[in-house]
Amino acid sequence: MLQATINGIVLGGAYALVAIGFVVLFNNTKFFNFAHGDFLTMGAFLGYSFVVSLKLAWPLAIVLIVVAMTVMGLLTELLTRQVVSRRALLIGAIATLGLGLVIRAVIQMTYGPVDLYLPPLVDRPAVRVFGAALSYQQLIIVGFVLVVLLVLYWIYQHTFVGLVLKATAEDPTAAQIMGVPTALVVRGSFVGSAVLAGVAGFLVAPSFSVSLLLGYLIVFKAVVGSFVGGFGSLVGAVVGAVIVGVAEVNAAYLVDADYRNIAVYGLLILLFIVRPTGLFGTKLVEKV
Amino acid sequence: MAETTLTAEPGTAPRDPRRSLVATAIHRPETPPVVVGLLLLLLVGLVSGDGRWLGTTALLLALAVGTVGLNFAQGAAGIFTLGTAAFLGVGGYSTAILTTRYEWSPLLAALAGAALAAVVASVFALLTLRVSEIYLAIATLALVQIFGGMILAYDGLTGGVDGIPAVPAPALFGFAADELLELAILNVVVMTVLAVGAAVVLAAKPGRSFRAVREDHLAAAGCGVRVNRTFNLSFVLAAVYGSIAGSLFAHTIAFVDPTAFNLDISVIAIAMLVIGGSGSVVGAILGTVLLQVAAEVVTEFKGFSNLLFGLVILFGALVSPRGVVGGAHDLVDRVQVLSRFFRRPARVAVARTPRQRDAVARDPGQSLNGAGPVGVLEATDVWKAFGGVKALQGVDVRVEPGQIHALIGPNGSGKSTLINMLSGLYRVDRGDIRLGGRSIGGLRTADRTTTGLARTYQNGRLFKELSVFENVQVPGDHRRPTPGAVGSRWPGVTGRAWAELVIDFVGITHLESTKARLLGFGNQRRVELARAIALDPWFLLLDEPAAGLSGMEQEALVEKLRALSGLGMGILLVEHSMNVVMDVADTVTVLDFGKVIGCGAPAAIRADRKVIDAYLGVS
Amino acid sequence: MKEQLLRVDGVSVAYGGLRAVTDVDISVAAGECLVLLGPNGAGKTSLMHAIAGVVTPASGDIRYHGESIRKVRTEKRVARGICLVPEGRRLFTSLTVEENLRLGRASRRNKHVDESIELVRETFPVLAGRWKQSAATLSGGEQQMLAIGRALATSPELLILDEPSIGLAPKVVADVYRRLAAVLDQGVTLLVVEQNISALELATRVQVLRNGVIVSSGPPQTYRDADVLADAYLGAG
Repeated sequence: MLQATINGIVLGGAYALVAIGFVVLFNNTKFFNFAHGDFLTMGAFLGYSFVVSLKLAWPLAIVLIVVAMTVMGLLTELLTRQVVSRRALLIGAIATLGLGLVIRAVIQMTYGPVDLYLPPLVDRPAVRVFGAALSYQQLIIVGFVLVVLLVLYWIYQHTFVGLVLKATAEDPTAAQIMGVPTALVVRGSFVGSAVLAGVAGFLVAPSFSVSLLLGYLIVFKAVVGSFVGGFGSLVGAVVGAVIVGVAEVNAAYLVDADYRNIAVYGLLILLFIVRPTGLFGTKLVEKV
Repeated sequence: MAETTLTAEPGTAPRDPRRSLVATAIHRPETPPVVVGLLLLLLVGLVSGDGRWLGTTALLLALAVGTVGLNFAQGAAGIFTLGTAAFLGVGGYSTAILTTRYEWSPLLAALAGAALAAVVASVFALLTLRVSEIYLAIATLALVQIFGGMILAYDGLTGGVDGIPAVPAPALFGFAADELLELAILNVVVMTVLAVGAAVVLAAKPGRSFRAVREDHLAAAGCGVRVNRTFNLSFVLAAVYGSIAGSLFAHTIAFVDPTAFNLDISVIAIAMLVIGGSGSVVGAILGTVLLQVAAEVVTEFKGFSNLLFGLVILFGALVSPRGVVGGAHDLVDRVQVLSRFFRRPARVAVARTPRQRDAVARDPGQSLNGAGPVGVLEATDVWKAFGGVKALQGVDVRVEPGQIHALIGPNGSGKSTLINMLSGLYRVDRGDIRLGGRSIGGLRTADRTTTGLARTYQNGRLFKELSVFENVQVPGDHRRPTPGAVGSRWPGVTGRAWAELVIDFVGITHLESTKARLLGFGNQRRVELARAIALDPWFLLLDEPAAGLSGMEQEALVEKLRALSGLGMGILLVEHSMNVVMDVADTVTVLDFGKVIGCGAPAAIRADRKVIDAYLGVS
Repeated sequence: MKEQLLRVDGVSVAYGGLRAVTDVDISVAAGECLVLLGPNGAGKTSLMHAIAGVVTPASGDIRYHGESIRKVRTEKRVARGICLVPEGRRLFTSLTVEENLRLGRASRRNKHVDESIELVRETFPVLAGRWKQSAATLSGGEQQMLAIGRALATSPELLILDEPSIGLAPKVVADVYRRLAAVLDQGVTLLVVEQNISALELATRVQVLRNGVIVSSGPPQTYRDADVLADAYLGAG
């Protein structure tokens, strides 16, 4: 049970990385990017190409992934610029579902239908924490999540950029009137979330597999999780994502593997019903 | 009363009241091409003897039912839902299980599936719409996963990963559709019946409610629409159609397995709807045909069909969110606007039945049917604070039936708050709101319309994509006889006749088929007023109705307000235009900093030093 | 003749079919305080939004220091020295008083934000006591002062104020305008839009806006007579 929970926390950490990118983008732009998971998949596949095919060192691979995802983020922002400014959620959601399909199709055409394997970054034996085993890769994932959280916390609480982000998220027009270049904030948010997703993909791929639906499957769980935690709140997103991870792994152990999905999603729906605004959430849309 | 400054955009021909609802629903510009296209498809399959082509047609028709259903939720009501796969699966598996294992008749099996889908959908919607439609959307994600999980888990019943093979051919009333052609024909028939049904629903009251709720929740509630119930209904309809589509699918392919009912197919359904034209039944069918045929043509290239789908959805949503049908409509609108320069807009003569003509000609000053007034509308000692800001402090306002009561005051004095309080948007902190002696303070907006209250909005909240006629029909659909009155003041005038009467009254008959967003500003204001009147209220709350109107338009407005008060309607009017206030008001109440600083006849108020000081900020 | 800092030439603003502002000409000289009076619905906010760049005028031109700024984006106008204190203040309630002020750096016009913030602290001492408090906890008058301070933190040349007296008690309004007098003394040009006469003390010139057009102009003394204004607003009795 402990092992399961520890594994669940790590899985939840992976989900949290996805959730964070998704929520940060939404907070700053009020836009749902359903292709976010596929950005993660891109990172995994690109990582495979760089490390396995081209035999590059992994730090270089990460740099290249950052560059590639920056381009991807800018491209996505360009495509959806009108939608974002008009705040048309529905159209944006549909468009990004389409974008996700395109990305997956391109990946499949480039890499073929077979799942690939990305070896772990560090080849060392597992570590024991509180009596449970953790592979180094899992440690890296957890470590990365913590680093990201710390960095984000520092940015929001202690830097001018964070101030600008908070102001823009609250009232973009008022921010503009104060001289904030809101177009840049939007662009930066897209790039930031895309880069985070790509790097996250590279890091989690060894534990999962470099597969076409890697991000696609994760993003929906992560999004549902972030709603449970309370949408709009970063802390909520992380907590919710971790809950999903823990629930999923424990479900596999406690309950027949077939019931895994039901248990997880059923739990989520239950939480929705009990606490619709989520554990930490603020109202997403006010019902009048 | 007719306005001479026309900014009219000629719209489509108004509906002939002698034509039935069904005929109107079907007779749209986009229907013939698609019907012809479908027939051609069938013909090609028949003539060529190509089994594959017939098979594709049959399959596509089954899916089209699902897309038409999705249109209720997404196209009409504007709910984003990824649940299509789950409901398809409910129908598909119900049919498969019941016909193979328990030897039910296909018809009963399909109906059972539909019933199950309806139950699941209503419970689901009930639970998630409490919060918002966005939560519904995310929760449908979970629903699809849960469904998938259940299929795999209860593999004794469902065959798990392997699925259920050899689903028998569908049979209706003894005729079994064994041949591919027969199957295709059966699917055509079912789809046509369901599509016509959907078109009729959308052209009638439920469809109007869906579209109203999609355009503007608040205004819809103000027209008496039960917003949550409306969303629920659209979602349930989508689920039922989805289930039937799934049943047809099971018969057509003669096999069900879990891979057919995953998230991808929900996304594809959305794509089909968006491409074809969200909001239109024919558009849903068109989109299904287009994408399915394209996918068939392109399966030569491995993996390309997903790319195609993806690109189509992406650019379809960005470039033309209203799809082929929507784009065609826009084109037609634009052509009509251009052609305005080449011909004078025709005054459209609307055919009326004799009874309606009588109703229109009746002298508006006459009090009808012995219907008596219902009492007074009053706010008593009302207090309201928002955080630290005291918006209203012990305000008393009293509106008598047949009286025009103006509410004036400088910016920030609490006028909007008071109107919002009366209409049900805010609750009082202290004090009460009464109509005819009955307290209505606890009622929600939609419920207050049944008590005889109607309002207009400062910023104008018309249903932009609906025609003028439909805008007025929505509140007309929800018109209820008001308590305390002896029936309605206009007995026997219902449905379309009522809408026509109201539209004639505000003087906008010639524009009744035009989409609200194409109207000039003055005309939009008329529609606002018409919408409020269409609720047949006893009291009208008007929020700055004269704002932005020209002098002539203001005079026309004053004339109508006088006519309305002559009919026994009590009117509370928030206004800044002193011309209008002095002209039309019987009583004037002045607010300043949330307190009443004067109440009386207009001339007295105009001369009142305190009032002048309040406006000019002299302390 | 004093330099015309801001010139608005024949500007019209329309929202859909509604013409909010029709063919308006105003000009503001450096160092003066122009007050635009007008009842609600007169188009004052629309005009201010056009000057600040929040909306695009349907016609006409806006010149700042002689250069047309019609195509200049909102945030760039702040960088050039135009800052709007919007109607209703629009403070960032998720931020503290200090944080709202620090945003003055956003336009990168002001290289000495800390000095500006100090100046704001001196001009509005009441804010000093609430430095680390959330902007949402301030009273109406304090919020107005913070809104003005926030704009001052961008080191503006031209400060535009849209109805600063809304919802404030007369005594508080007087206090706010005393502070604004100090701001004027510091060399900032003011363009104030108001519904009432509270700004007349401070005004160099007054213009009256009604139904989207300028209906009268003149020195402030003319409008101190309440009847003159009442006629302009409430319609000749």
